Amino acid sequence: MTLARSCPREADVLDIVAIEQWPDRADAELRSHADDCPVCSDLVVAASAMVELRDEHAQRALPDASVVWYRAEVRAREDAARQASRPMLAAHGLAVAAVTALSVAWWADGAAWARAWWRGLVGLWPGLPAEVSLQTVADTLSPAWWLIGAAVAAWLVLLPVAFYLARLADTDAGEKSLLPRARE
Amino acid sequence: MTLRHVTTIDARAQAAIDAAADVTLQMDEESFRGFYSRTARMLWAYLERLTGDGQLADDLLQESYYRLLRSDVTLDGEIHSRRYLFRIATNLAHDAYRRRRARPALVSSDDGEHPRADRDLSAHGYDGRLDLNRALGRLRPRERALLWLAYAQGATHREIAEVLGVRPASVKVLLLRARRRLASLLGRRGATP
Repeated sequence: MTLARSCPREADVLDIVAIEQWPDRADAELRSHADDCPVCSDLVVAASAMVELRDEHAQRALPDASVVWYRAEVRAREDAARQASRPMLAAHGLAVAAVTALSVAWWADGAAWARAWWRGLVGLWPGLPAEVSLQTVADTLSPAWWLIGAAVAAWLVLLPVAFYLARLADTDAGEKSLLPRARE
Repeated sequence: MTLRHVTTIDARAQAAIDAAADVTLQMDEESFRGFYSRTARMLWAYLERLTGDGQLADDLLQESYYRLLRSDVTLDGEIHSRRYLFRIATNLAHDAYRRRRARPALVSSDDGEHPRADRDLSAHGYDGRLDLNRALGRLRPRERALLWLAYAQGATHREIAEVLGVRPASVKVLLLRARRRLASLLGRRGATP
């Protein structure tokens, strides 16, 4: 069954419904048409329902414009500051990673107790190089050990950075939750 | 690197942050106040009808104005700004609808669309207004938006098309279907009460 898609009397019906005067201001012929025409009948039902609901919100207290403006301004500044600080975050992360890598290298290369511990390890596992210095490691390690070393080094570098970024994200979230709600 | 160097870098970073924090918004406060007073109630009612949740409508209202103020779009006059605002609000309401559907445990109505719908009936039993709310709750968000924009706000088909992101030529047919569906849900045929 093909249903009608429009009716030439729609506009007439809607004009009266929109001013909440249906059916009082409609003449008998239009009322009779709306009763018989499925398009106009549905229009009356739907439009009347919307008009009926339209005035429901008239008394609703909305946030003041100054509150909405203030909150938008605060948030815009926060967003802008966050964007501006991204390169600095990256620089901080790199600095932390560099310091961590240097510390590990110095510790492994220079500490006497670390060398003694390494010699003990060599006694247990003769395949390891006898001296634990960066040079001997570079000279003697096989490619497989380099891969393992690279993985460990990456882990040592990335872990502090990950902690650092996670802490920053937590701080951001904490600050956001402290923002004032609207004074409604 | 000395402490002085570190201090200098921090000062530069702070200066960059301060410069970026001097943000530009789409309009000044005075213009915004006027625009808000002319559009807020209409927008809130629209959002409330779409979401069926007054609290959510409050949040989406704030978010809509924020996104409008921060948008990069060149807004050509009040009418364009208003349509763009309603477009933002429509998208936000649809996002909220999708999130609600993704959390079925928190959905109260059986089709997951409108929290007001069944809550009203279960609390109060049959009533004309509540029945209407329930019927609206059964409609799809786009159907609610179409009916509200067309008959509560008197928007033209072109305006509705812009707000909902559909072709203007489709609005008539979509409206016809939405009307038919609402009338059917209300169980009303025949225009004379």
